Amino acid sequence: MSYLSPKSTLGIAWLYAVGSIAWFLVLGVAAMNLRTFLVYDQNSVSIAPLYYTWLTVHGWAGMLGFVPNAAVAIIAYSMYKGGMVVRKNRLMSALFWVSNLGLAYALLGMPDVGWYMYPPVAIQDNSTFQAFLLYHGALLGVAYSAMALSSLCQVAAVVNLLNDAIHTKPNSGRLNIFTAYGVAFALVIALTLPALSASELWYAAYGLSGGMVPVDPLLWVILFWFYGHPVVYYVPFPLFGALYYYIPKFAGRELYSEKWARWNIYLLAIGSMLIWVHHLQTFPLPLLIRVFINLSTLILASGSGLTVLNLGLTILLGRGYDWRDPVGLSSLIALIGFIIGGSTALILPENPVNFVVHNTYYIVGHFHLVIWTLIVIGFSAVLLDMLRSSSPGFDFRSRGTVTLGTGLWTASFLAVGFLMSYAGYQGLIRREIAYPTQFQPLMLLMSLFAGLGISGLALTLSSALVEFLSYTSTHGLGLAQAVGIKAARNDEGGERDG
Amino acid sequence: MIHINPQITPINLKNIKLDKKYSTVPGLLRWIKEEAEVLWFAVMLVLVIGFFSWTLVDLTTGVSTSYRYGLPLFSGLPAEAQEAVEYFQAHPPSNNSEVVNGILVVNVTITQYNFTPDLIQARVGEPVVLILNSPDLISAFYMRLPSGVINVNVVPGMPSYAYFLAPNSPGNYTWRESEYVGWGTSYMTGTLEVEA
Repeated sequence: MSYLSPKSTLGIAWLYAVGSIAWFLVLGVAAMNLRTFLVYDQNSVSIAPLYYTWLTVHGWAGMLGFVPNAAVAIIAYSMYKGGMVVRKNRLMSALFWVSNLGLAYALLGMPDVGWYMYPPVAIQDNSTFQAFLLYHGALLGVAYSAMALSSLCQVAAVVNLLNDAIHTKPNSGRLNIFTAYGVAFALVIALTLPALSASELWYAAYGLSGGMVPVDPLLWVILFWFYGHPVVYYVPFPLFGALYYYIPKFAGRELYSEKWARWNIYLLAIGSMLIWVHHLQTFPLPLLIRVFINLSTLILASGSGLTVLNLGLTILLGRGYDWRDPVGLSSLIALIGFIIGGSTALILPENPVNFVVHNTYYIVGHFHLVIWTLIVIGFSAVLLDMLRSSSPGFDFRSRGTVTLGTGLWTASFLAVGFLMSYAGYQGLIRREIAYPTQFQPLMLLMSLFAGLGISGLALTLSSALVEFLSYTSTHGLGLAQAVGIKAARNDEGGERDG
Repeated sequence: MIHINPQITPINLKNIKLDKKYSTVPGLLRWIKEEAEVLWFAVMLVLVIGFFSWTLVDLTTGVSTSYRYGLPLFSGLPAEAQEAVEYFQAHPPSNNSEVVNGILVVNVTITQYNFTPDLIQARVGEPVVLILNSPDLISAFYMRLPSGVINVNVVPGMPSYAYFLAPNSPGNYTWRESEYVGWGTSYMTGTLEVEA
């Protein structure tokens, strides 16, 4: 039971981290299925229900499973690093299980609506289209109720973390930068994730009432994107805190500007909540709204640029960056990946050019570049550091394997991302199973590099895990004790260093 | 950091004294860095406002050449195209299209999984306005022409518009559904047939 309901701050971080890894495996399997369909050039409409089911499993496992779990894990770990304590461990565990089982229940119904589940397709249930291949009638409403319960549990989890952060804040000194970012962006999640719950509850009411509760398409879409845009920052912004924390350590100097890092919290937090409509620039919205989101997106972009400048100067003015350390290497790649992935976003808030790439693979390439580099590699850095924190004295000896794996993943997925963006710029529309033949060579290359990249990440994480497990067994530590699930040693917060 | 005695006027540089901690070269560099942090933060926001203002002018005056390829709510249509649409809507023809003052106006309806009509015939260089309606779906219209891209979303209950000039090269140009509207999305296409 100690694995199911850990009793320490570090244990809670591990519980949510393991949950996020489980969803990552699901989304990865789904992605490889998608790539298998996409390299076949004779797809007919009969294959569409299965293809779009995998597409939705990929999207929901990623955005509704991996992202919130990873975000809670990073935030809980940031609290641990700042000497704070997650007090209501049983509540956090219960929320974890209910949340993930709710999402799993919905996925078992084989939804095929795409991750952002626009109406009316997402609530359609007739011979032309079925939103869930296995859930019909009132069960559609039950599925959306389960999803609403899932997201509400995630909201409750971050609210609980905020509450614990307030009550266990150290009396002296200020929070280290990692903890400050973790707690600040827990607040952003708590303010924006309820919009997803409301969207899902609206669908649930429609399904359970047999269509008596109407859904207004444009209003639903705007409500959804109030959550749907900030969610892409749920992991990156707490990770910015981690990068501010790790990169100076491996650069051998203090952060170039602590002020910038702390002011930036306001730019990123406020900006991220004000730009949701930039997904709707090709929609019939008044000019003033589109102008407004252009400004708010630029404010957010300036905050992101400041992060890059701050960390870049820290590295350049440091005493030589220790990239041989797995955490140092992952942090560095996450920063570089963010620069590369973020640069492809620069044209997106611009109204006069957005429509050139809207709904094309350019967008897919852009956000996957950020996911594959900043989110996955940055999260790996935190996971590797969590292994160190979990068992004092443990360090990575097979650094070559970790470096090779990380390099293989990064190089391969940079190739996939840029191939996607190029294809999108040339007119390849996303979410299509039949596309112009000119794009088939590009699809084949994407699939090839994706396969290579996955082996790289598997190499990194498995070699680190094997090394950790062999260390704990050599030193007579049980796994539960090593990861702080039941050991009192790690209960009261970890390394309150700055 | 800099102390000036207010009783002494006019300000004489000799009366400005740096804190002792900034009187050394490393201290002075530290002071410059601290001020630069604030300065760059302000400069960055000024750049944002400048760039935003440029976009605002572009949007409100329509000076961007990209505009003629269409944005919703009439904002991408030149005045003569807006007049043609208003005439077309006030005097709806029996079929889906009509030439109004030299502009081909076409009423396109999007359903699951069809465009109606799915064939538009135009002459080379002819101005075309599309009135896009989607009574039941959140859908979209995507077409690449040699001179640019038309990419417009359509929501139930309100039309979207697209304006373009038919290409100068005769031939067939395919448009596609770019929003996900169900199993048949990939197979929803239509053709712009451009004749000499």
